[in-house]
Amino acid sequence: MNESLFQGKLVRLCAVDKEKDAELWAKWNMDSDYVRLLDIGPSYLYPKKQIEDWIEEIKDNQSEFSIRSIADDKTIGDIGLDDFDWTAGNAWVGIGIGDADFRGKGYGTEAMRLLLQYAFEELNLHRVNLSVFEFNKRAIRSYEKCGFKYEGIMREFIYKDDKRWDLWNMGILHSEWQELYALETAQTAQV
Amino acid sequence: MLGKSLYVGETVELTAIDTEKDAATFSKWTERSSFFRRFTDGMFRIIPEHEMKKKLAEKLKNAEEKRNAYYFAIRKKEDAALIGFACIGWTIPAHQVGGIQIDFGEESDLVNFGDEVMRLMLRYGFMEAGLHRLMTTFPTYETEQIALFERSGFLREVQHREAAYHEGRYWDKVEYALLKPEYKKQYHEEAK
Repeated sequence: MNESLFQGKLVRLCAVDKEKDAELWAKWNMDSDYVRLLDIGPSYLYPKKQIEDWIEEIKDNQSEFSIRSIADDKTIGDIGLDDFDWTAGNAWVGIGIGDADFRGKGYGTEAMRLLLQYAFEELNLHRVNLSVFEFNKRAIRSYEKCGFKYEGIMREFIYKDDKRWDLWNMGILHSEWQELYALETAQTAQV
Repeated sequence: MLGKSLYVGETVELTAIDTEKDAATFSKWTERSSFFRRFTDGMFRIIPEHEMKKKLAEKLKNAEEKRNAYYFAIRKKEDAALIGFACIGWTIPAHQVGGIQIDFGEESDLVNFGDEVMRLMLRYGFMEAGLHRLMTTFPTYETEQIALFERSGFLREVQHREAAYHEGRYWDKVEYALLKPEYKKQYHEEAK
């Protein structure tokens, strides 16, 4: 049995810190490329107070975590589940690595795997969805690595830079996650 | 542009929702899980009339404040009977995209009046509300709804595997969308 559900090798998932995280998120929002990859709405510099209010509004119909790097105990991003459908066992995941030094190095991928473990092994979800902008290639690679499969393309959903872009949809089933997990565990055992 | 009503069809028309008078009928419609799930969030149950009045009032107030949704009661022209609900909602103005919903109390009304209401709603969404993309989602067991949207030109874009639960088993959920240029091609008479 896992000692800690939220503990990985590179990162751990922990509670959101209203004041400290709001300050970080406000800082990350200054990186407009980051927000353009993350948010469906227009990028915007929300005042810290507004972000704090948003954090405070997170209730038990949502599940939001800070992602902390284990080596230097630094908050590097956030991840969460939202839009739960408990009848079908379905929810949507969103993730952002706000600290640019930690992008493209497997931190986000591991955070996603921890989250999927929580979603499937503890919440007993049947599937997890996500949508990603077609121009976010780094995220797409990470989602593929986590086992997400392509479920379709919403054509011309996004309007930015006077162009229309597609919104990709991906999903992973509980059974698919279990197969992947069993395979990885077996491979680790062989090594 | 002028001289042709956005709301009046041959046999039905789009009208305002009357929260007080229409609530009982809307309440009845929530006996069907498909209507319930398109109409509101949360666990499927039948919404009683007194609660429906509040829900409708809240929906209309939100739409007015945010200016992001347009709700209509579908009524027969001959006797003003309320037979369905239609809306353009969940719009994201920055991307000119929105959802479309057309629901009838009786499946026979969907077959008889669905195309007429679709024509009105598409013109409203594309030619009045200024949207580029209209979308909707169904569990795959809603075959009559899917048929209506497919023959209206909507394309199936996404298949969320096993994302719905109904009659004791999982079903896929499919997403459909129609883009403005496609609409103008298919409905060129309407789109003038």
